[in-house]
Amino acid sequence: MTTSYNRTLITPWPVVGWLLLHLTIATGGLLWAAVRWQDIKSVKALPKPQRDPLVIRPVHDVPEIVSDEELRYVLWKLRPRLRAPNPKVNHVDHALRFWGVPAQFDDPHCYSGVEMRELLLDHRKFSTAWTRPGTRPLFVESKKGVKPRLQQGDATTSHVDHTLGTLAEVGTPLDYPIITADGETRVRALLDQSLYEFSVNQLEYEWSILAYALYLPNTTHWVTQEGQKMSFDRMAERLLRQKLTQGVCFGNHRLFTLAMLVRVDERSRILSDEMRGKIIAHLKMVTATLMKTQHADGFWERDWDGSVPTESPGIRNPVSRKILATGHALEWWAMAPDEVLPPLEVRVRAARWIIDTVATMSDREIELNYTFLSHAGRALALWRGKFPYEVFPEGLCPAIVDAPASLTKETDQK
Amino acid sequence: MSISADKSTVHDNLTFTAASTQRFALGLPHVFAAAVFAAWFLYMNYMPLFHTDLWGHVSYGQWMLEHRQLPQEDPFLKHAEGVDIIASAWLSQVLLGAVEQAGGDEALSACFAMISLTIILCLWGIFYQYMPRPGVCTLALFVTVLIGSTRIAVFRTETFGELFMAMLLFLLTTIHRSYLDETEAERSLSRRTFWTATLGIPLLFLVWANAHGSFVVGLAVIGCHLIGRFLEVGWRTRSLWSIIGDRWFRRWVMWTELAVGASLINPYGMDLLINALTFPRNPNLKDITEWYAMSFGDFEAIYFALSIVILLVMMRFSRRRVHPFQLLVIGLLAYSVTSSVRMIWWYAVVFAYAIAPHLQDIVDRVWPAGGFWKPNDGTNIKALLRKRSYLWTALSIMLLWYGFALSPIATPLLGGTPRKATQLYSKETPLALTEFLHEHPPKEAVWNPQWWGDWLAARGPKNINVFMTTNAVHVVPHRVWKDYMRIATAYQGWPATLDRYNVQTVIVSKVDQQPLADGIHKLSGEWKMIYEDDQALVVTREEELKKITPVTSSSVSRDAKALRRGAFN
Repeated sequence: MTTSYNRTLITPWPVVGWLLLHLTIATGGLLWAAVRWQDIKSVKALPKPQRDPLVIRPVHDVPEIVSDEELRYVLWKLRPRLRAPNPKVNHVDHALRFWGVPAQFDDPHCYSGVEMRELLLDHRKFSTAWTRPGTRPLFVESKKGVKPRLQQGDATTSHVDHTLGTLAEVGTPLDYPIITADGETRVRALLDQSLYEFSVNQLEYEWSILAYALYLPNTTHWVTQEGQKMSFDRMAERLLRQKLTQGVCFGNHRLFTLAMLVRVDERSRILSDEMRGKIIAHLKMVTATLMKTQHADGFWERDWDGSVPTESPGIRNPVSRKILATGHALEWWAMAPDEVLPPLEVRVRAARWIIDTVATMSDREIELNYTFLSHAGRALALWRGKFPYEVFPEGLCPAIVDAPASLTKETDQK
Repeated sequence: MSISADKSTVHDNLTFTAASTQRFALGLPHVFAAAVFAAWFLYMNYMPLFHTDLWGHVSYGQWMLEHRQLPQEDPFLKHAEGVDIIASAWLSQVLLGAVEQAGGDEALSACFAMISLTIILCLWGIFYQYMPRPGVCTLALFVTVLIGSTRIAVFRTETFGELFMAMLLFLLTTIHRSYLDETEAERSLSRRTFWTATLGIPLLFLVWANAHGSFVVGLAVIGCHLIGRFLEVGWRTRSLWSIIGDRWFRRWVMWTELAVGASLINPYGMDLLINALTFPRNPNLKDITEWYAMSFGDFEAIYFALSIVILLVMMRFSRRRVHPFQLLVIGLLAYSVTSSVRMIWWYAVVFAYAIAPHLQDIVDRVWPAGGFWKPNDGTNIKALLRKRSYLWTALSIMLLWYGFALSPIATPLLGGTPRKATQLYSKETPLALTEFLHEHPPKEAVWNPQWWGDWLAARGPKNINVFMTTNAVHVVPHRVWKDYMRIATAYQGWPATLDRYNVQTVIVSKVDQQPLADGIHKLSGEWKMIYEDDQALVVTREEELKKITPVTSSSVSRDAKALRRGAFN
């Protein structure tokens, strides 16, 4: 059967005109869609950080809490004697945060601050130190940058974004190189990957938020890959959400980050007045709780919020738990504004317990508790208004520091 | 006026009267159809309102009516704060909210019944346009509804989408009646039909796009016609010039453009279209059963297989040409239903639309018009069935009246006892639990099954802080959804997840969350069971709630005063 079609546009020009009209309509529609698609995508663009992180200095100098001699001795005892095969990344991470990059040690068993940072960020150094067969590189490449492997053994980090938070706290600029097994990148890639993966409801978020506050103090908000608008108010809300002692290190990381948010907010407004008020009120409430639950000897335990623990302690050694709880409390107080601080005697008792405990600990005990002690040692230095490396002339910790008389006498009495 | 003239007038009047009389006289097949429509309306009006996202949509609508604006974020879910939403169903939500405000939940039920009836009338009309045989059309409708039957019981905004789809297919059938029957050279469209389509299509999509995101399925159906025509003409002529010169191709281009253009007239513009197209990629939906891919054991798979058998039989015996657009629409919807079982209704209606002309061809040949009922053998029963009569008209009207009078919709007009809450709401609706929560409202965060979240947010205690709602599954951050699932399935570490969200009260569906119900009993001593019935249990660690005397199955009665009609309005 012969088929003919309804043709009314048999001359070329009407056909061309019709074609042009509809091509224009279609192209216009597609362009509109493309522009909107780009806009929708761009909403989730990662925020632009500043190159150098904010450095938040300690503001209190209270000799009653720790004397110069005691501080030097305690810090000397807590020097990072990590120069051995296969040093725990967790320890290096904490030691770098504790001591800072300028720290040097007149002890061949210690890594300097620079070396510790290299150990973390330069795969060549890492692979030299980590000789155990089968050890995988610390950093792995991800969609938007790099990230350290997490909780997969001694050659990996222990807390989400702890390395990033450490690098921020010790003042590492974002263009500082990271040498991975696959090539070279920058610290910016570490931050970008963290921002890309960040969810305010993730398991650990305290170090992430701290790093963001230091690298993004001029960013009011951004949108996560989950499509949620993120601001420091929202992150602070998250920090305030849980029961006090829940979470890593008995909930103390949250308090430290909250205190740091307030301090950053003093330099660059990242919080609303309402949220700042909520944080201050919360920290005051925590301080009041700590005052009630402080042991006569000055320490706190995992039940520092006064509740009856319902879960297994996780950390079996009670001394370790006390160091953890007490050291962390002293640390966040050291960075907190005056209005949330407890009376001096509370801080003195806590510091005294820490100093005395550290003075009597063996090298082996210090090694076993190094991560907890790093917070305690740093706290003591901060209470003298200094970062630990600033305690020693030119940042050089001597090979030997004699115990001050006060500690010798107490030790003798015990 | 002359006598002859008078006679002529009388004759004309008599002729007119006779024609009118004949016009309103119905046959037995009409009675059958009327019975089916009445029964359908009755059934759908008695269908209890489902316990899931309907209540979220109603709440959204009432929120919009109250605030006179579209929500920027989910107004009822704390964990979705900061997530922008596109209220793609805003118009139907507003309608639902207004209906509920005007007439309560019974009005929602009536609304559902009326929409459902309109849908099947449109589907019936698709068949009827091809073959004015009410009985056969009703049987064909029955098969169509059977194929999509797993998706008909739940009233939600998607129901509006289903309505518009049925209307679109009815409209397209009007176009195709001439298109399919005549030879290519004679294909033409009456002016009336042309303008009906040219005005009706954009109008339909204007409303549809604002009422539900399923308008993209409608766009796809129209697009299939355009592509189908392109292929049809292109295959025969191998000439782009001929394709562009083809009037029908140009018409489909225009109608497609009008449909797309009209659907862009909405509060979100192009973003709505993009959102509708990308919506199925939302990772949270992978855990929702209705978004699962089809598997062999599903009812949907059985009905889908049945439809394929029917399709093959139709293709084998129909003498009509199979047009590319028919293959395209069936192929597209078949693919979508195998990817996601929730598309089975959409597949079913498109299936009906595509096979209707082939069914007509087969039926006309097997049972030529009038042949089947021809009373040649003098059988009285056949003669009775064949005859059109007022008796059948009256019977049809009576059936339709009974369909209305016996339905709950007639209660306000005709009197009677309103339905009890247990009849108005689906049996999975946690009525007794809701009453308990009203008496003892949780102040802090509550974890709940997502399918109860919308109901609890709408009808539970004021400002209840629910963890998840069905209406916001696609809105909440993926991390929240994963954590919800971890708790819902009592997966390793779920108690710590409760801690992370500072959940103080947990509501568990004993029927659908047995592992969690078992796990709840193993929670630490800080938790206390405060409520349990056959349906749900509640544990809490809120100090105030822990003080109350636990309510257990023996003290809960679903017929108690708490379940009075309207107790939760």
